[in-house]
Amino acid sequence: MKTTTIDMLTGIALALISVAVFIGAGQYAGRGVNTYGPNFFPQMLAALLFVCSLWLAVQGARGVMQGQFESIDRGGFKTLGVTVLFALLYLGGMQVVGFLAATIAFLYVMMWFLGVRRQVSLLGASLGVAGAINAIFYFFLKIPLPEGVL
Amino acid sequence: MSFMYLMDAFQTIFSDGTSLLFILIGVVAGIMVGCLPGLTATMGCALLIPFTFSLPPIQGLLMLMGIFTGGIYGGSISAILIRTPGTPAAAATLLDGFPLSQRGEAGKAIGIGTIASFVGGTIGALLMAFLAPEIAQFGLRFGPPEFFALAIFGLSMIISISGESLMKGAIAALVGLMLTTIGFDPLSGVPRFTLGNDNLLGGITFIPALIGLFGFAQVFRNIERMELVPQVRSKVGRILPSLKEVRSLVPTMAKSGGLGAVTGSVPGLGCDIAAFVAYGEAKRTSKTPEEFGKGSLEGVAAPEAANNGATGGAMIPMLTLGVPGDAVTAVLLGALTIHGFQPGPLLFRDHIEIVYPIFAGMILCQLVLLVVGLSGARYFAKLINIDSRILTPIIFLLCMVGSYSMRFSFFDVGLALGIGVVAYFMGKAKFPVSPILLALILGPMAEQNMRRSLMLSQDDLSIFVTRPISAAFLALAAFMVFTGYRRFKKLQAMEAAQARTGGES
Repeated sequence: MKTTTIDMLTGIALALISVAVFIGAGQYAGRGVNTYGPNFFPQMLAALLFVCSLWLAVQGARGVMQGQFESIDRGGFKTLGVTVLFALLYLGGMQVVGFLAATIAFLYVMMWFLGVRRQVSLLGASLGVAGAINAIFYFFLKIPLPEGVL
Repeated sequence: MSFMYLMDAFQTIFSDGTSLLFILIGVVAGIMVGCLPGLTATMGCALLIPFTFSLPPIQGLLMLMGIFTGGIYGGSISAILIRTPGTPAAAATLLDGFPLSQRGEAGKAIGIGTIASFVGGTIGALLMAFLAPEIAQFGLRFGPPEFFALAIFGLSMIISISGESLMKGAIAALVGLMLTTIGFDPLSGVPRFTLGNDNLLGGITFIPALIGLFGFAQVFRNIERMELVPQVRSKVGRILPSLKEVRSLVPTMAKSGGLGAVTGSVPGLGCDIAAFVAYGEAKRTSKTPEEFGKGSLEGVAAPEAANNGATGGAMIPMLTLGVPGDAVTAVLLGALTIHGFQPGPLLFRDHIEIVYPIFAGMILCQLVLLVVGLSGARYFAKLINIDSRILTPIIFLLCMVGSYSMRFSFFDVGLALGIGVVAYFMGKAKFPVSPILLALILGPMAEQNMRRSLMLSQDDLSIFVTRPISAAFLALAAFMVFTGYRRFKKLQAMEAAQARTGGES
């Protein structure tokens, strides 16, 4: 997709969001102590965003570029998608098996997925880093990390 | 008076050995983050703030000062060794640092850079220590209209950090300001835009937003490009330059440090611009300008002294007026708030016990930087060679832990991840993310003071222009936008002309 088309679509989407915010903020009108209540600031921002977004959309439609869209490496993007999926699984796993076990598994799998194959590096880094962070937070900073339900 | 307070602060720090330890940890961590390309000082501070949560405020803040100082300096190591600045502030250093490295004098370049950073940083820290209290004294005259105008002045800095498109910068700032309206309205207590989610009643929490914008987004970019970036091997020679070489560079270091401190104290300019300004000035006044770009020691000393001098300078508006000049000071401002201190003139009146240890700590950071930099440069250089396939998951993990540890909330981790994904695509579409951060800091200040002013004036909007200080700040904001716009257009025209010339040849 061309950069100007992306700008145009982004502008339209943001303009719609600003309209939604303006209308949504209307429900807070009259709940302050003076004329300029809790609705005023968001509505003012929404109005300004609407004008700027519309300008961006119009510039896009006219073919005027506001900074070249940076190409996305397809392979890298797929890797990124899988990584985010791992992160979500890690978040879920942490609540079940606790921080330490989930982190060791997460680091090991992530590094393997990104191409590290030496077992020494994989095990050393995942065990070492997970252990160090756990120790720093648990013993030194006294910040509790999830212990899991198991 | 400032001098006495400063001496007391030194005594406080020296009386407790752990304070020095936290400065050391901060400086080392900052250098480590700074020297790794792709990890900026802003990201370093964002990732390491959670490690300061449970520390006593002074020690936590000293550690953050160390990270800031070390992060800005660390960028020069990779700039010199592999022609890739670890932070934008080190971009000017590579112009002469890398040619020196190619001549087998990388160690000497790093040594000069370290000493220059120490000289410049100390000048900046001293300027901060003696100037900031005076500015804060003036700030005590401010009421709500002045603070509102100040917030608008701060927001006008967006023009300097908008990158390729001013309009996209403005849009990013407006989106950031809108995000600040989520949660309880600070004046009436009405919950706004929470979509029925209790986690949003307190608003978008600063740490998850920060880690999403600068941590996750950068990690995502690194993962996407991982296969395209080759690993670079580098060598460091002798680090310590000769005394004669250092002596001949002291005037350049001192001048550039002062220039950097002054440049850095102007909101919106920051460490990177300070480095280029000092580099240009050093070249203009050098006896051997023809050496610049080919491996001039002055060409390394000037930007390094300036960018570290700018760290102290940049702290002045942040601490005294609560207006961050750039992204990294915005992060520090947020960190201060998390530790329970609201930067601004009242900080100097109500929390003097915190302010002067910050000044003293900043000066000590420079000393620690000198020792650690000269003795450890060889080891920090090796960090550049760490396999990014191992490093990236670790940073990913730090982002997750960091966003969790503020409120022990999985919602915050999800929020940070979500903001990271949005920031990643914003980067692709050339929407700058720094204006969002600035807006997150200044948004509440703008809204609360605007509405308080209007309560005072009984809805009379003229209150903002009839009070002299408020009117002056608003005029200054308008002037900044106008000159920034003109500078931007001029730069665009120059780039277009350059592109045409390139196309013809």
